[in-house]
Parts: sequence; C-alpha cells; structure tokens
Amino acid sequence: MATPRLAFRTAVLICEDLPPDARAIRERLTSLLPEAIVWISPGLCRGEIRLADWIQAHPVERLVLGLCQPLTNPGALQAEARKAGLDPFGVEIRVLEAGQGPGGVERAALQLTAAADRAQKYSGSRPEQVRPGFPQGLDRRALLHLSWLFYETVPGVDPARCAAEQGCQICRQVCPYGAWQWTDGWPELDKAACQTCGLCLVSCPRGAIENPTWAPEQIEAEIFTLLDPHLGDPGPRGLIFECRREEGEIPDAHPAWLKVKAPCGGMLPPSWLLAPLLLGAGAVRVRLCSEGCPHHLEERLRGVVGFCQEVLAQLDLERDRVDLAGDLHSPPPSGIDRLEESGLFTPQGVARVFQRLGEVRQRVAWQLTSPFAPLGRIDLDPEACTGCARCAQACPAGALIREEEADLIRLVFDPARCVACAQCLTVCPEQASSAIRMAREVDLPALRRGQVVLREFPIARCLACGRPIATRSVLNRIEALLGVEDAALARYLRQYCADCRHAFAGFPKEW
Amino acid sequence: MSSGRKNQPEARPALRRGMRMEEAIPLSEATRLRYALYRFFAASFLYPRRDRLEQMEEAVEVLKACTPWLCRFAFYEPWRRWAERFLEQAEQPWGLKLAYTDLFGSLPPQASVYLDPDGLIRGRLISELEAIYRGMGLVPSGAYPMPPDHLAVELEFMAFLCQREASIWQEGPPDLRLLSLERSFLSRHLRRWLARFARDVRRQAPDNPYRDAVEAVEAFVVHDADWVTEILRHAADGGLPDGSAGSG
Repeated sequence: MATPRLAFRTAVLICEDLPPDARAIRERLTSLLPEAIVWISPGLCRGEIRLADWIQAHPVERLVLGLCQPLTNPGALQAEARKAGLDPFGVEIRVLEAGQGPGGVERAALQLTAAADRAQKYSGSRPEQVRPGFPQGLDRRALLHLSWLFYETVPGVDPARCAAEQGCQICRQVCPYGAWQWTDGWPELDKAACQTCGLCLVSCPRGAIENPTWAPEQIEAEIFTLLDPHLGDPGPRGLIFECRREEGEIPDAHPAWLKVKAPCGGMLPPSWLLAPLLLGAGAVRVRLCSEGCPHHLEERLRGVVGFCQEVLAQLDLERDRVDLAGDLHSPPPSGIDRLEESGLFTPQGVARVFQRLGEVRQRVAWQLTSPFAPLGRIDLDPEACTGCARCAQACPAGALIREEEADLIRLVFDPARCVACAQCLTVCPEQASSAIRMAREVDLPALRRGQVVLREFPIARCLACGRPIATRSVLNRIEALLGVEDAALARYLRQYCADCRHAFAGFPKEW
Repeated sequence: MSSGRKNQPEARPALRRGMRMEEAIPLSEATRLRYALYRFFAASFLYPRRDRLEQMEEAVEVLKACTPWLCRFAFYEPWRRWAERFLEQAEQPWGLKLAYTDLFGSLPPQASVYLDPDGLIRGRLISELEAIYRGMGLVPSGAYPMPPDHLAVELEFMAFLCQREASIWQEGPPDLRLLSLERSFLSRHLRRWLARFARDVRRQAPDNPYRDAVEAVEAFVVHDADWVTEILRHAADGGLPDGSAGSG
C-alpha cells in the first residue's frame, strides 16, 4: 500500500476570488491531494469566514490558506485557529499572484500542494519559541489592544542537542544582534533583540537551534514539491529564494521561476543554494529585500553566491545557475538532475550536497578553498601536537574524535562533519606553535575517503594503578616546560597518575 | 505571605460573570485577566483541599467565559488542556491529592532546587526573595506558612503586582518601575527555573495530571515575560495608550 502523502489531517481553503479560477484550482488540488479537504471559501480574504467554526466542523491538524491578498490582521486568524484547537503555526498562508496567464491553475495548485507538504513538516513549538507583537504603524489608541496582537516564532535551543557544555558559542558569535546570551551556562535568546534573520539556525553544527516555522525540513519539503516534475507545467523550473519580508510580484518574471520564502536572503548557506539543483531546479536566484538587507548581510550573500559559482565552474556548469536575482524575464535553463533524496538542507546534509553534485557531474576529484566554504579540513603538526585531545572534547560538530585503544590515543577526523568553526583552534594549548591548522575548503576526495586517523599517540600508564596518565607527548611537553632543575618532578609526573600522587602525598583530592 | 487577602483563588473581582466580550480589550482588562490567571495557577500548586478545589472550579468557569479573550494568547492551548484536566480530576479529589503528593513530594516546586547558588533549600535565594516581597510591603503570613520560593508563592506575588498594575491602569498608563519589577521578577526568578522544573516533571511523571498544570504555567509565565517586555518596549518607543480607552 502506498504511503499517504499527508501525515496530518489537512485542509486547503481557497478564496473564491483566487486567480485565475478558484474552481479549476480546487479540482486540480483534489486530484493532487486526495486525502485533503479542499474548500472554496467566499470572503476568506476579507475575513468574513468564522474560521473557528469551520475548523470545529472539519477537524484538521494542518491548514493551508490560498488568498488573493495578504491578511490585514494575522493575529485574528491565529486566535480563530487557537479557539478551534488548531496550532496557528500549522497554518500555511499563500498569497497567489494575479495575472497568472496560461498554466496559472497548474502553478497555483502546485504552490498550494507545496504549502501543504511544508505544513506536514511542522512539528510544534515550545513557549520560548514564540513571541507576541503588534503591527507597525498603529495609532496610539489602537496600539496594544488585543485585536491586533499576533505571534511569531523565534529560534529556541534544544538542550539535548546543544553543545554549550563543550564550550560551543557559535550561535552567539554569528548573531548580528547579540540576541544570544548565556544564562546558567546555556544559550538563551533575548527575544526583543532577535530579528529572526536565521543565521544561527544554519550555523549550528548540531541543528540544536530551531525556529518552528523555518525548519530546514519544512523549506526542503516545499522546494521538493515545487520542483517535482510530475506536478505543474512540464519544462525547466527555476527557484527564487526570497526574504520573508519581501512581498509582491516580481515584475515581468517568467512563470517558470518559482518563489520560496527564507528567513532572510543573506542567511542562505551554500548548501541551500546548491541543493535545489539536485532536486530539479535549472537555476537558483536570491532576491534580497528591495530596500537593502535589514541585517546588512549583502556582502555575506555575495561571498556565498561567489563560492557556489566557483563550485559550479569546477563541475563544468554555467556559473549563473546560482546568482542574485537580476533579469528573470528569460526562462531558467534545464535542470541537471532530480534526486529523490531528503536531508540535504540539514546541517548533516552539507557534505552530501557536494558529494552528490560531484557524482551527478562525474567530477569526483575536485577541491575548493574559500572563506565561504561551509566545510573545513583539519591538520595536525606532528611536532607541536601533544595529543591532549582538548580539540576533540571541544568540537561541537563531532568532526574530531578521540579514540582510545590499548596503549594508544587516536585522533580521528571526519571531513563531512567539520563546519570550520575553529573551536578546536581556540582551545588548543599549543596554538602558539600552530599545532592544529584549519582550512575552509570542500575537498571531494577527502569526503569520499571519510574518517581518517590524524595521528596516534602512545599513552604513559601509572606504575602504581596502571591507569593512563596522559600521552607521552604531553608528558614530554611538561618536562620541557619544567626544565632541567625539576627533572625529578618531571620523572615523578611520568610515573604516577594524579590520583596516586595525591594518595602518596596524603592529601585529599580536593586539596 | 499576607497582603490583606487570603491565599485563595479569587478571579471574580477582575472578571465578572457575563462581562461583555468585546473583540478588542484595553490593556487594563488584559492586566486583570493576568491577575486572575496568576491566582488560578498559584492555587493549582497548593494542596488540593476540597474547599480550594471548589473555588478553583468556579475560577475555571469564570475564565472559560473569557475564551474570546484568552484564545488571543499563545498560552491558550496549554491553559485549556490544564483547565479541562482539572475539571475532570476535581470530580475525584483523592486522585488529585495522590498525584500532588506523588509528584511534588519527590520534585518540590521550589526555586531553590534550581537556582540557589549554594544548592541550599534555605539559602541565599530565600533571603533575596524575602527582600523583594518586603520591598513591596508584604510580610510572611503565620496563617499560611509557605516557603517564599514555592511556585505558588512566586505566582501569588506576580498576581499581587498585576493587581497593583490594574488599579494604576484605571488612572492612566502604569508606573514603568512597576512594569520593570514585573519583568525582572519573571526573568530573574520564575522564568529562570520553570523551564527546568517542567523538563524534570515531563521526564519523571509524564502521566501525572499535574504535568498539564506545569506545562500551562510554563507557557503562561514565558508569555507573560514577553508580554511585559513588549509593553515596556512600546512605552520606551512613544508612550502607552490610556488603559481605559475603548476598543482599538
């Protein structure tokens, strides 16, 4: 039996004025989403429908609204959903553009189907991931009245995945607003300061930072459907990432360019720009805010786009398959492939994007170094590194691994996991001697090889209890630091572990 | 702690049965709603005596009549879940008493467990809280001996601040110092430990009916901290509207 497309009971409500023809769109949607309730609702855009009553009569868990104009008061819709027991963040709203021309019904149905698929990936929100707000520009009397109250989601931390205990502070380092603060050893978001640019979401190597309405899985599900060759018009398709703040049509854009919202155009990582090419897009464009990026991330985006173009050049593909949104009058080029693969937008999927691109283009031996590369390579200097393994303890991505076997400590490196956060460099006690070096690069042969042993270090064991004291290199380093005057002490340190030394001295460990 | 009121749920002064439900409510009414909710939640974490349960049942009915307002807020769903669970459980008080003792006997709802710098149950945190309560003119009550860091007492204190804020709204925008005190108490105390307490409850007693109470109060307190912050932000941007103003 085939798996149903929709995991949750879903309804699609469309405005009766939806261009080009609401009834034809409903018919098409009914065939695309046979499990969903598809309903034409007069006055939906004007707020005339009592949504709570409708939902109570048709109990659903996810809702898609196809509108012909933006809602004036999204808070009222959220309250209606809540009243009927529906999570308001499980409601996807799509404002469909007028003047669709030929194929408009098919495109409208495609967008609403993609929205329904996106809604399936919404997995709920926690209280700390929601903040109240009021629309801008209200007069003083109307301000702060509950009728205008609405909620939006903000990033939150999943403590089970967060690497704060290892000293990771990547979210704090990347936030342009200083919104991540440390309380009791854990990151806590200052909701008032957060502008939901999304940089922390894509920078966390463990995916511990989650914004419930901007999860990578949701964005991927929408893109996957938008680029599905079995749906919509035949022919090449292009994808436009658009900042969520940007509204309205792109003048004279070719209808084969399909839009998908992102928290901010400037936050897009290279893997998000390249992955759609594997899912069937002929080209990818990024549309920044027309009045300039409010987070001042234009330079970052240009760098990321430039890096993606370098990757495309390595693959013998046209560089402009990934670009900033410019001339969109022409149709996009044909796609390079369509993989039925998911997880390409998650932090763990970054390396896979480059590997798959190499496989699809049969270019498996390329390497690219760039300050915008999302992956890193770690090298150890065999002379300077003592094998203390502080780097492995601190690595939030799990790219550096410490393995212990018999009388050896082994430092293992996984290039597919390294996000070049430089945490290992920060904690290395031998940093002054460049014991550890990091390069931002995508190295396909290294990715193919997988985990490699960087170096093995022999362990010195305690003469009294037999437990490991440290690596011999660490003890050599200590001896060198102590100098010849303390040779006896150095020898003592080499022979006994800290516990036994304390026991000999007759002092409690705490001393 | 005593402020001239008994430590009982008392939603009626703020929200009378049959009060007209307008689409938009002014901030003064929102503050009264917050007061009523804080009192209800505070009572939820006291031992479920029969008389208390009766008063809480009445409070739930009054608050349920405010659904058109309550559903405007993000904490509505967890609140509704707890209110329904409570009404269901209140019919078998022995079950609720057992659940209360079971859960809070092993997991005391006290801030010191999570926040005291020395890990003491009667440590520095207690002194800090007592100083805050005394600063607002409250003194420990002999009739209701409760530790000052108990969840019910901290929620009662917030109810007291909301009551004071609501009375000031009658005259005009409230004193910003009062709002700042609310925000600081929420962020430095209640909110700081409630999430961890809720996590422990979810892990330790996933089927206990009080789990819904803890989740509801967590959602409400997190929301309230954001709400007060938002009001203060608007106050800083250009002043607050008159609390007694009509619908927006």
